[in-house]
Amino acid sequence: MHSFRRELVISLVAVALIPLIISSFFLVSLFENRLSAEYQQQSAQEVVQIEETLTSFFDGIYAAADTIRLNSVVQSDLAMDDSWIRSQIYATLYKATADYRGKADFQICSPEGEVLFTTASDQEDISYPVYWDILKVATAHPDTLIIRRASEFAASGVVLQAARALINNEDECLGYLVANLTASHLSEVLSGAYTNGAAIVLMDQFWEEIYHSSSHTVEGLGETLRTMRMKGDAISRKVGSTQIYIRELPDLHLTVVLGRSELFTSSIRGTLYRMILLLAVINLLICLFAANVLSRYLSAPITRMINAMRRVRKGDLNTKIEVDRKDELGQLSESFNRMTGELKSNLELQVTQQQELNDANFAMMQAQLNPHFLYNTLDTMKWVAKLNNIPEVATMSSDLARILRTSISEGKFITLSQEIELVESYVEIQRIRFSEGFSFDVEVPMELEDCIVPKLILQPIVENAIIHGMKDKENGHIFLNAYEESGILKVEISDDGSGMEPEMMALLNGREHDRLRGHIGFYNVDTILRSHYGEQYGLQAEALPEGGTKVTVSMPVVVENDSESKL
Amino acid sequence: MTMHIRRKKLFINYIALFLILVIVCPLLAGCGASSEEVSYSLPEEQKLVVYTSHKQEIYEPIIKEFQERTGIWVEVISGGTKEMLDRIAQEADFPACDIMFGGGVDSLCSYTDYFAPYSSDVQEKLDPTYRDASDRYTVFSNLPIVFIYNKKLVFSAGKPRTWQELLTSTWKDKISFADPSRSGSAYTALCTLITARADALSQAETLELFASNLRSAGCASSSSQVLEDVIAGTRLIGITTEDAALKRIHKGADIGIIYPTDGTSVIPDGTAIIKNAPHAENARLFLEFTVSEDAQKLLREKCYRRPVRLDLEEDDAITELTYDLSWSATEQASILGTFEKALGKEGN
Repeated sequence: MHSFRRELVISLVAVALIPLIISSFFLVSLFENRLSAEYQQQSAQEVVQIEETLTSFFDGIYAAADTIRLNSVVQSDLAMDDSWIRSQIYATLYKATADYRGKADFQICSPEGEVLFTTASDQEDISYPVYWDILKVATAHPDTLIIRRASEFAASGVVLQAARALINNEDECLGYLVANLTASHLSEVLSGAYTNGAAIVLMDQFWEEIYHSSSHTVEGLGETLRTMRMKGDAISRKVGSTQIYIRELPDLHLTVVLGRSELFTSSIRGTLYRMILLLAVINLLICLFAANVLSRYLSAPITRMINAMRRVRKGDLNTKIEVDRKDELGQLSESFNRMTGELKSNLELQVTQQQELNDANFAMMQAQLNPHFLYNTLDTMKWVAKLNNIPEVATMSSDLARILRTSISEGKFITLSQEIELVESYVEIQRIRFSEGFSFDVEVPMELEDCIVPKLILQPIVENAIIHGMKDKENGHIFLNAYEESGILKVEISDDGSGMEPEMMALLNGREHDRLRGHIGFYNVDTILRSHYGEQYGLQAEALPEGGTKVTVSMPVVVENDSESKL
Repeated sequence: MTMHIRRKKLFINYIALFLILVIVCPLLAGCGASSEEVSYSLPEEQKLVVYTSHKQEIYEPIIKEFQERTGIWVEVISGGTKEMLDRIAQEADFPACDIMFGGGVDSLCSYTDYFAPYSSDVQEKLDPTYRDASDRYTVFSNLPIVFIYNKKLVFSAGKPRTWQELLTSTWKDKISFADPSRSGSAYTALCTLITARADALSQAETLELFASNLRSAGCASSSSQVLEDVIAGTRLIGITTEDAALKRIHKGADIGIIYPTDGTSVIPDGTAIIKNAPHAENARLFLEFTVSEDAQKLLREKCYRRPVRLDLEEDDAITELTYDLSWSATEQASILGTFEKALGKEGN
């Protein structure tokens, strides 16, 4: 059987799982983005610190260059090969660079670029071209400390150089102060400027790597970034599994990259996703359980009702559903119970009515049992009377047979002429019955003879006129007159008898049939006409001024063809 | 029927829900991510791609200085001369590279189809000896072929002074010479030897004589091996380029340089702009920079190379021997073949 349980399960799962999964993934990515944003923010602060550190370091060297260039011995003659002068200059050099010597080696070069003095322990014979690279720029900008990635001409191990031309007060170039930084010098300079977890890459303005801290997270990072930038690849916050932060320091001609191995590693993400999956599974189980309980709670009464209905369909109207709840389903069950109860009592009533109907039919069948026997008997009576020359009996029996035939005949309607004939037969019999003579006249226009009227509709009126009107009266007169008045057939039966009691007449005209019981004939005719043709038709009685009563039967003019269609 | 319709409605509801989620989710995710990505794009007019066969100590200072002077970002791809030139030939339809920096002009001249002609602004100041007729390459530095000798083992007066002497049995098995099929400079030396002896000996005779002096000891694997051999004293003399020898002498090696008195070739290396180069303008700037006074001066003072600029050329003892580059290119296979055959004659 198809049940709504499936829809219920799908809906519950959808409602429970989809938001869970979506919000979980959303949370994961939010978390990830948040971490990355935080890292960027932290890195931004650190880079500011790094920039400050480097700037103050190079400012110190700049100041040292000032000290040296303003020294009188240096100004006198730098290249003089005199040991006393040399030691004086060395003293100046050492003193000026005292604060920075652990962080760089210093050289003083001649105006031709030849290294004359050096604080480095191993003395290499080095000279720098002054028309090239750092010294060329230093010559052009004596007021600036020039910072450059070390070229091939620098001493081995040196990665970064800073140089300043030493200019005397006459704007003559005395020589150059060159600071040489090896990787270990740089790590000394930068130590403490950034947090331990991070790694740093120092590049020049063309993103050529100068230095990277000893962490494998940033190994080769400088080259990777340069290649990416040269190729026009988008550089995001992440390269491989390293979170990066890039900041160009144009004043120093340097670029700083802070790298940190990603906190949100794929294994952490995997754990989170597994957790989400687990939650989803648990959720799913809860959903299925809830769906089951809920659907049972909903479907059990419905199933009970379906079963009850099936029993009702099979005819068991005693079916009752137990109602143990007050919600909609409880109300529905109660309605069902009430409905079957009503259905049952209705059915019982119908059965009784059917029985009554059957009884009536039975009686009717019994009554119809012997009409032919009656006709034949009456016929025989007629012939016996004729043989014995008793004409009244012959007339009576033949009239009675005619009445009987008409009244028992199948149809409920007959023509007006047939009805008149029947009335005439009846009057004939009555005339023989009552010794007092009365006359009976009929006046029916030819065109109305074919009108269709209900059977035996005039006979009770005429009977009433004979029995009540002609009582105690000799030579009475009954007149039946039919005419048409604006589509209404009117048949007047008037007598000149003793007249109807006024209260009786009032009852008839007031149509208070309940109290017409004594005059069953009137009551029946009026009821037939009204029920068949409408309330405006029926009987109307009035007392005639010369004495006697006139009863008018009114009904619509219906000719044969119409009546058939109407019936 | 009604059931069906209801099901359909339910389905539509699900779709609506799904659509809402699809629309809402990225919005939510978008809230999480702050969108302050800095883009580090680099305009094309600030780029240059250089293929070079120079050693790093040559190209690195030149390129570093070029970057700093012009602000142009240079991508360097280095490799052997032949490797780079073949790569250029392969990429001819869609050049990835703008300029070929390095490679002897004898190598460059067989690839001129892939180069765009460009005449330097200072062309008239450059050594015209090996100038290309249509300026498809521009010379960069002169590389004379020289002899080196171990100063400790070779008595100064007894050192060889001419190519002719190398063919005598005096130096049998004492010469270090790189395999000319692998080393461009060794092949240049071989061509120089043939040219130097051309009026006396045929090509085959010269090769035969020279090979007989090398035969039992064989060729050195590379030109740097020649220097090692002579410095270590394994061989007494060697044939190599001047810059390689000067560099080692500067570093303290106890070897001497001999400029053959019967002349030696001074084949320059060159620079060539690639045809349809993506950054042709920058390539021209770079080429001009390679022949600028500063760069040429640096070559002499720091790289032990001879400048090609006439205003910087020093008047010295070199007797220049020139030969036809097209000859050396077309004859390469046959010369190498003959030489190899001669070397293998009596087995080694």
